[in-house]
Amino acid sequence: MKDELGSTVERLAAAAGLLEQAVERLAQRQNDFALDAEASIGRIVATVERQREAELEEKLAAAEAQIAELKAAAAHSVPAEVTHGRKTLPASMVNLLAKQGVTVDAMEAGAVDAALVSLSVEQRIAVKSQLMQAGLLG
Amino acid sequence: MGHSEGLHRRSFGLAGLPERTSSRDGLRGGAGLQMRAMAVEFPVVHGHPNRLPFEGVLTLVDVASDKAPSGSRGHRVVLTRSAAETALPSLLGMAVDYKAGWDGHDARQKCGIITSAEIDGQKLTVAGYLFARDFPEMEAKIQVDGAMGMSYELADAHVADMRAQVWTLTRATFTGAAILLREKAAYRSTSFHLKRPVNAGRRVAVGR
Repeated sequence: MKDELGSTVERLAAAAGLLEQAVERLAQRQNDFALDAEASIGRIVATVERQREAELEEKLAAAEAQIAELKAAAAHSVPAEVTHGRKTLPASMVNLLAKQGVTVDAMEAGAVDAALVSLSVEQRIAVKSQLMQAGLLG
Repeated sequence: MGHSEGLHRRSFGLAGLPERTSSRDGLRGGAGLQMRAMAVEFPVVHGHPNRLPFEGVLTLVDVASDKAPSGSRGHRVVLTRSAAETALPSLLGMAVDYKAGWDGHDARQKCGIITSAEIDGQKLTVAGYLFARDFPEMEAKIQVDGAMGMSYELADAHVADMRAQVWTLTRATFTGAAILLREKAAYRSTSFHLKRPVNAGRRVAVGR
């Protein structure tokens, strides 16, 4: 019984292998037919293809405009990123600055100095150091 | 001797065929270059007001086009010598046309006829007549030296390998040609010019 089952399985496996090969051959043949069909071109005119050139020029213009936009956006985004760079500023430092009436969104070197007058020298150094590390002060 | 006149004489001289028939011959030059020529002889009509003889280089064989021709999906093309030779008969009797702006083909604006064709070296040259009386606006434009070129129109072109960067055309049929600005032609080395009628030259000589 087991031998019979084993031989049946073997035959089925062999048949499946043959089917796989047949499918591969058919796919290859279909590919060849497709290439043969493509090999004949209905009409060729030895004039510069204006439409294609125009399309390429349009694409180039669009790409250049996009590059210019991206450059402009990048230039604008630098200060914004720096402003939002307060993520790296410790919360204690933000609180300390807030107590002194300084917000990280609108920070200027002069304003910081004025705001920190009431702090000790060490505290001022620490605050400025943190601000510089966070990119909020140049 | 003008180019087309030469073609006609050469063709007939070698084949020995009577007038108003066509012939085809291969010549082997001294440098080993083979030349193919074919012509249809038209009866001579002196002073025909609507026949203005022209000649030009239609294309180059075995040379890649300078730009991608229209219909070639952005590929530059090479017309093989073998394909051009086989297709030479299909050129005879086909029309030349022109388009307003001189930048392309207008197959319905047929302004002349091709009566002879020759492959000499890499040049496929043609000659024939323009319908000068029907298209009086052409003559002034065409006479600007070196400005005008030609462009062929092919049908049923066979491409050896569609995946190649430059398509090689191994078989094709010529269905027409256009006169246009050289800069608008896929082959920049094409040319087109009018032939001076032999009689006009003689008149000038006598006048001196």
